[in-house]
Formats: sequence, structure tokens, C-alpha cells
Amino acid sequence: MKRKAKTKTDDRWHKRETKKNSNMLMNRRILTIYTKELTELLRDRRTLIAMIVVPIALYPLLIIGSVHLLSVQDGERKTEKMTIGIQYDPEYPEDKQPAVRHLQRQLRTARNIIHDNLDDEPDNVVSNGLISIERMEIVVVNDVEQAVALGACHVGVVFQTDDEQEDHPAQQRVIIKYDKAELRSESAASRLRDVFDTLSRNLTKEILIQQNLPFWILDPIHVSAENVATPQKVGGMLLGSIVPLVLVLMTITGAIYPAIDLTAGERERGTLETLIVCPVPPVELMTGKYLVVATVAMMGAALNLISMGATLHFGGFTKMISASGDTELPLEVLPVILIVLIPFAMLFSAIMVAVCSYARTFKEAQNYIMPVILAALIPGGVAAMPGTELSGINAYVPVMNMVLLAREMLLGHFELLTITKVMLSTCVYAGSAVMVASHVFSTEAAIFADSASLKASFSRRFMQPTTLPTSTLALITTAILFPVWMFVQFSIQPTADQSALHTFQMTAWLMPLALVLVPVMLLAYFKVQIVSALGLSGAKPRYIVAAILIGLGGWIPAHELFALQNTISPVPKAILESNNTLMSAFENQGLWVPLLLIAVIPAVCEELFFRGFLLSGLRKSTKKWTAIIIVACVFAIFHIILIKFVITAVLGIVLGYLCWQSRSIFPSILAHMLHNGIAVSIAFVPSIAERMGLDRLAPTDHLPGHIIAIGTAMVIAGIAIAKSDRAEVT
Amino acid sequence: MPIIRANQLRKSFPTPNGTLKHAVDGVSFEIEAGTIYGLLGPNGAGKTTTLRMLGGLIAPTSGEAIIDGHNVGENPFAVKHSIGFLTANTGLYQRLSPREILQYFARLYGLAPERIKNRVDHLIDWLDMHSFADLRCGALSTGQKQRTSIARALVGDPIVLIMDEPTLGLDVLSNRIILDFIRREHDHGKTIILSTHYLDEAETICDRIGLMHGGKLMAEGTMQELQALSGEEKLSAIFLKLFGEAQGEDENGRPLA
Repeated sequence: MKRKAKTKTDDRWHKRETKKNSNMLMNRRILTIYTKELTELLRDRRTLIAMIVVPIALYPLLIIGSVHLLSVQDGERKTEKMTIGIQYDPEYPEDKQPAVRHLQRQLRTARNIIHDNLDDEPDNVVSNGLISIERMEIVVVNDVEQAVALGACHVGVVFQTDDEQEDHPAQQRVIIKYDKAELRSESAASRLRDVFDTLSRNLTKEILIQQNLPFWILDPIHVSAENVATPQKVGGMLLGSIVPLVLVLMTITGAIYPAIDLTAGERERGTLETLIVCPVPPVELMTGKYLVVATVAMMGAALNLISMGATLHFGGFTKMISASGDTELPLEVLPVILIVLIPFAMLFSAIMVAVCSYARTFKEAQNYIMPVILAALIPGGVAAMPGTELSGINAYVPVMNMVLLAREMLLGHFELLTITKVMLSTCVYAGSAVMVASHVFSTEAAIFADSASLKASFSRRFMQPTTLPTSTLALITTAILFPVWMFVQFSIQPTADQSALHTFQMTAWLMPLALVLVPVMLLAYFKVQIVSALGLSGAKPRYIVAAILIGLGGWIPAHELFALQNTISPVPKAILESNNTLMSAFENQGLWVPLLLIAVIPAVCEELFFRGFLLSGLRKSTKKWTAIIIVACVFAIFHIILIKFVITAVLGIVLGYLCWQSRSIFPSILAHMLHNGIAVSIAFVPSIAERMGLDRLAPTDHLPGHIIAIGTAMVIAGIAIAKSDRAEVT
Repeated sequence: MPIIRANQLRKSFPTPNGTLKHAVDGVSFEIEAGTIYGLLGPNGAGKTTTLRMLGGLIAPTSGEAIIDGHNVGENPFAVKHSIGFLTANTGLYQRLSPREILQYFARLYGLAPERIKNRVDHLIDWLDMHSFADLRCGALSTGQKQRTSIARALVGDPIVLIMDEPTLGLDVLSNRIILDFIRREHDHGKTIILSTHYLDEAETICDRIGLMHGGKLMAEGTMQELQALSGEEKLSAIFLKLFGEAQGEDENGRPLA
């Protein structure tokens, strides 16, 4: 007996050792491929140029260039000497003031007045009026309009004679002629106008003083605008317009060359077949290559950041781009931005590798890359426009969220919640893209770039009926459905016109469409048996018992977990209150309405999608716990409200476990439905809450000890029942 | 005991008009250990596809291939460990040196780190690659590249060598390197399967020959067996005769009565 037990342990030890060994071998092979590809890539002059020279040269050129150009243009326009044309009128009587002298005198007066007023009332003076006057040159021309049109002078001035102003004898009339198509003419006109305005105001002031009237009646309302933005913000705003976009696009472009070189380039040079001959699984080849592309993209991003930071810091351009002159680029955010860029670089590396894998030649790969770049440019461009904010759906749109996040960080914002949103959604996309890329790379079509077999992998005719969806199908569907679902959720949020009840009703309508109909149609197209794929076969009674225990008791640990989370990092009151407003939607409705809209429909739809479709997709290719945890996290991200992320994810893990063990969707639907149903009942039926002593219990309060004990015991019992499958042979 | 056994191998590809094309259509043969087997046939006969299936590069649509006791379809990696695969267009990494390439492939074949250096040095010695072992492959001559490719195929010390059109488009000198190499490996007891459409070449080095056309193996045997089967002396004549029979024509291309 004893000996037998020992053999068993030995066996298990041996098995573990072999597994460890094969894992080690796999890691060693991936490392070998990684090292070799990186060495080869770095020996290529083109990589070095794309990766090092371009970013180092780009930022100084881009930033110095644009800032310099702007300041030079601006400065020129302000300090440039301007020429004013005056009409020469031979019939104008010599003894009456000649036009030229008239204007000269006017201008001199204006200057004197401005000088006089400078000390006591600088706000009332056009600040650059002084410079303007000193930089004005007066020329006499025959035809003012013609002279302006021909560019002989920037502006022309016509004084109207006394005869024409009989009805307003005291008023001087001045007409400024300018060419609106000429930037300089227009700015000269506005400067001259300022001069005359100041002159006019001062004349009025004199008159008012003569009449003993207070001269503030000139300006019953005095308006002046003051900039309250911190210098950092002003600089950041300017940094925020181009730098994040360039940074994100450079990270994407950093992946292009290695992705092409390592896939299509390798095929074009005939080395891919050589590599396939080796006893290395394609997935390992792909992983090694993919990691090289991701590394180069990251190195590119890092060099871009360093180059950008150095240009701004040492070039003294932080002063130029800021209004007050003492802005510092927040250098400490650069490493944080780099960390945020990691999943992003992984996402685009995977997309590039997957796309290029189908190309036979370098040129063909470049053609495939173009649409990807264009697709990235559009959300990137929208994000770079002023006014686009990192909120709502924008936090989930790929590229856009990264550009906006980089901008926010350069502005000095560090909202952990927003960073989490962007990082998590990017991770979802990156994960899907990596899975797709690995699938693409292991198909024969990708290895031999055979267009016929490529077609076969998409054409329904050649598909074999299967029982489970592929991980690729499940993950791509999730990755596409995720932003769509986010968009739907944001567009049906309660507004002034739409009640919260409407939101719940719309969700209940749309959920079966998005989460059930879409996967069912896809499964049907790809000839996947729907009953087995969604786990629609019956479950053993044991699992139903487990589901009932978990479903009935689950809300208690969930509530406690939330209360615990609240003590660690308190949830903002506003969020809790907005939750209450949502709940008030069901006032005057029977209990069945919230039960149906919150418990039944979401439980069925969410389970069919997450534990049915997505978990089935991962069942074949992923390890048990990895699959359950991935699905639970995606499930939690789909719930938008990030403060409930932990709880939703834990709930997802329990439901996923239940489904994995029972190989049926029904236990998890039941548990989910009971869990939500109890929460709804407690919230809407006061008598239930009272009987349990839970009336007026805030979501952040702790439950009585005995209830916690009962609830936890129920869940543990449920899990234990679901776990005990020794008798079964699967 | 045959070391390679192909049983009703078939590979089908979909065509653009929606039908299936059988690139290889039910090919069966056996190869004894230590012999040289030649697959002959015109372009598009299915030779490359057959060899790729044997090498575990692509999975057969139906049928099976067993090499050294391993089923290729079920365990391609075990098979890949025991074979060396050399193709005419086997590319080399331009930016690596022959030594680096050999080290790389030795690692991929799972050789123990301490064995890698010995194996690589041995191959460089054996194929007389000292003069160019540390230059980048981009700078090598065709013959030098050819020797590097051979060394690369041998790095895992395979018991079976699969060579797809090894002499395609080579000059006389490089051609001789390859043929010498095949003979030497044969003398060392290795099993070699190669495809070619140079009939004379096959006649001189192969122990057994399989004639392929249109995805099917038309005839198979030693030179003597094939001569007896067709009544012709030269391999080219044998091929045309058998090809004609398959098409229902005599050796002058006229339809048979």
C-alpha cells in the first residue's frame, strides 16, 4: 500500500518534471528565436534608421521647426513697419490742412495721449499701439485703392472733406482701405484702427471732462479677460495638440518595418520554409517574432519619448511654448507614458504581424499595412482635435484613447481610473490581436502564402463542422462587440428627455441582440454546433444544487467585498447617489419589472455570451484557470462601472468555474439570476429587507456577522459541490 | 523494415471556382533505410507537396505518412527531429554568418548547449567551410551558400534527408557539390528522398525511382524494374512511355487504338 502510494507520487513528480522540461524547452526555443531575430533586425541599416535616426531627428525638426515658425511669423507681423497710403488731392486747398500733415498730427496726438495715459491707466491702452505708431510710415499716392490693391502700401486712409459731413459737423470720418486677401494688410488695418479708436476715446474723454461728467460712462461695462490656466497647462495644451498624436503614430510605425521584415520579408527571401522545417511549433516561431516586433515598437516609443523630452527640455522650447515662460515639461510623466504605451505597442505589433503574415512579398505587405495605418489615423486625428475629451466611449476607442491619455498625462493629469480604463480596454484588444496573429501564423495558408488555401480558411464551403468555436472567433467577436456595446450603453444613458427606466428597457432589448443573436449567427456561419458551443445541454442535478447555493448566498460575500473595497478606497458619493437615481426608475412599477430587466434578461444573455460563447472558445486552447480569469475580467470590463470591477470579476470567476465544471450553461444562468434577483428584491421590497434586519442598509455598510457566516458558508458549499468530480471520468 | 511509409497520401486545395484540386492524389510508397529514393515528374506533378507532407510542413487531407515509427500527421515535431529538409530555394539569413546560422538551427533542434559548438565545428570542418564561416551570408558565392544550406540541413544529425529539387538551377560546380554530398551521406547509411526533373541525374544516383504525374504515382521501382515494366532503356523514354499510357497515347503522342 505504502509502496503504491510512493509510485503514484513518483509518477506525478515525473509528469510534472516532464511538463516543466517541455515548458523550459519551449521557453528556450522562443528565446533563441527572439535573440536571433533581434540580432538580425538590428544588423539591418534600415531598422536602425527607422528606429533611431528618425525619432532623434524628427522631434527637434518638428518642435523647433513649428514653434520657431509660429513665433517668427507672429513676431514679424507685430513689429513690422507698416506703410499707410494717403490720397494726394491736387484740388485740396493748400492753406487748409493737407491730408498728410493732418494724419501726421492725428497720429502724433494719439501717441502723446497714449504716452500720457500709459502710467495711470495702462489697461485702457491698446498695448501695442505705441509700437504701432512708431512703426508707421506715411506715403502719398494718387489712388489709394489702387495702391493698396497693388501692394504699394499696406493700408490706405481716406479723410472725408468737410462738405460731405454737413449733417454731422463735429464728426471726423476716416475710411481705412485694406486688402482682406493680404494677411499683412489686414493686420495693418486692425492696428491703424486701434490707433484711431484710442484717439477717438481720448477725444471723448476730453469732452467728458470739459462737461464735468465721469469718463467711466465711456465704458459702462469694462471687460478684460484673464488667463487662469497654469503655465504648465498652457504648455501642455500646446504639447497636447501634436505631440501625443505623433508619439502614438510613431509607436505604430515602429512596428511596421520589423513586422514586414520578419514575416513577408522572411518569405520573400525563402528562409521561412527553412524555419518551418525545424521541429519548432509555428506558435513558438510566431511568439518569438511577435515579441521582437513588440520590443522594437517599444524601443521606438522609448526613443521617441526620450527624443521629445530632450528636445523640449534642453532646447529651451518649454519657455517658448508656454505663455508665462516658466513651464517645465513634466518629465516625470514620461516613464508613466511609456508604461501605458506597452499594451498599445503589443496591440499594433500583433495587428501588423497578423496582416503581414499573409503577404508574399515586402511590397504586398506594405499594401496591406496602408489600410491599417489609415484606420489608426482617423481616431488618432479626431483625438488630436481640441475639444475631444477622454470620457465616455472615447476611453474605449483604440488609438483615440491612447492619444487622449498621452495628452492628459502631458497636461499633468493622473487619473488612475481613466488610465485603468484605457489600459484594460487596450489589453482586451491586444489579447485578441495576439490570439488572431498566432492563429494566422499557424495556418498553412500563412506559411506558404497560398491564396487558395487562404480563401479556404474564410469560405464556409470548406469548413468542417465543429463542436466548439475557435478562440480566434470568440476573441475577435468580443473585441469588436466591446466598443460597440460601450457605444450603445453610453448612447442610452438617462438624459433630460429619457428616463432611467428607458435605459433599462433599451438594455433589455439590445442585450439579446448583441450578446446572443450575434454569436449564434456567427456560430451558425462557421458550422459550429450551437448546443455544444453555448453549453445548452443539461447539467447534472449536483451542479444545479451548487448553483442554487451560490446564487442564494453569493450576494452576501459580494456585498462585504464591496464594503471592504470601500474602506480601502472610498467610492465617491456621487457615484453611489447616481446609482440610487437609476434605481428610482422602478418606482410605481411592479417587482417583476426590475426582476425581468435586471435579473432575468441580463443573467441569460450575459451567461450565454461570456460563459457560453467566450469560455467555449477558450476551452480548447487555454488552461482552465487562465480561461476562467480572462472571461471574468472581460465580463467585468463590459460592466462599465469600474468601481465594481473587482466584485464583478470575482463573481465572473465563480460563474466561470461553475460552467467549466458542469459543461453546461444552465447552472451559471441560474446562479447569476438568483444573485441579481435577490439584490433586486432587497432593494425594492422593504419588507424583505426589514425581516432580515437590513432596512436602510447603505451599500457601504457591513452586514451582521451571522448573515456573513451563512452566506459565505453557502458559497463555499456550492463551490465544493461543483468541485467534487472525482467519480466522473471525462 | 521500411523507414518511410506513405499510405494513400492526399492533399487537396480549393480552387477559385469552388472545386477541390488534388495536388497529391492517393500516393503510396515505402522506402528502405539506407537507400536513395527519387521522385520524378514534370512541374506540377505533386512532388513538392508530397515531400512537404513527409516533412510535416503541411498536413495531408487524408492518408498517412510514417517516418521512423512516427506518424507525421499526429506528431510532426518528432518527425522533424529525425529529418533534414533541403530545398533548392532554401534561403539563408543574409545578415547572419554561416556559423551563426548553424548555431541558431542547432538550438532550434534542441541540441544541448555544450554539444552545439562541437556539432557546428564538425560540420564546418566536414564541408570545408573555414574560409567563409564568419562572413555574412549575403557576401557568399552560390557554392558557399549551397554548402551552408547542406550544413544547415545536417545540423540536427538527421537519419532521413528530404531534398526538394536540390540541383534546380545550379551551375556545374555547385551541382557536383550536391551530388557528392548525396553520395557521401548515402555511404554513411542515411536514407535520402529527393525530387527532381533531371532524369539523367536520377538515373545515376537513385536506388529506387517513383514516377509522378498529375498527383499520382504512375510507376515505382528500381531502374531494372522500370525498364522491365516499360520495355524502354533510358529513363526519359520510360517516363514518356508510361506517361503516354496513362494519357492513352503511344510514345509518339498518337492515341492508342
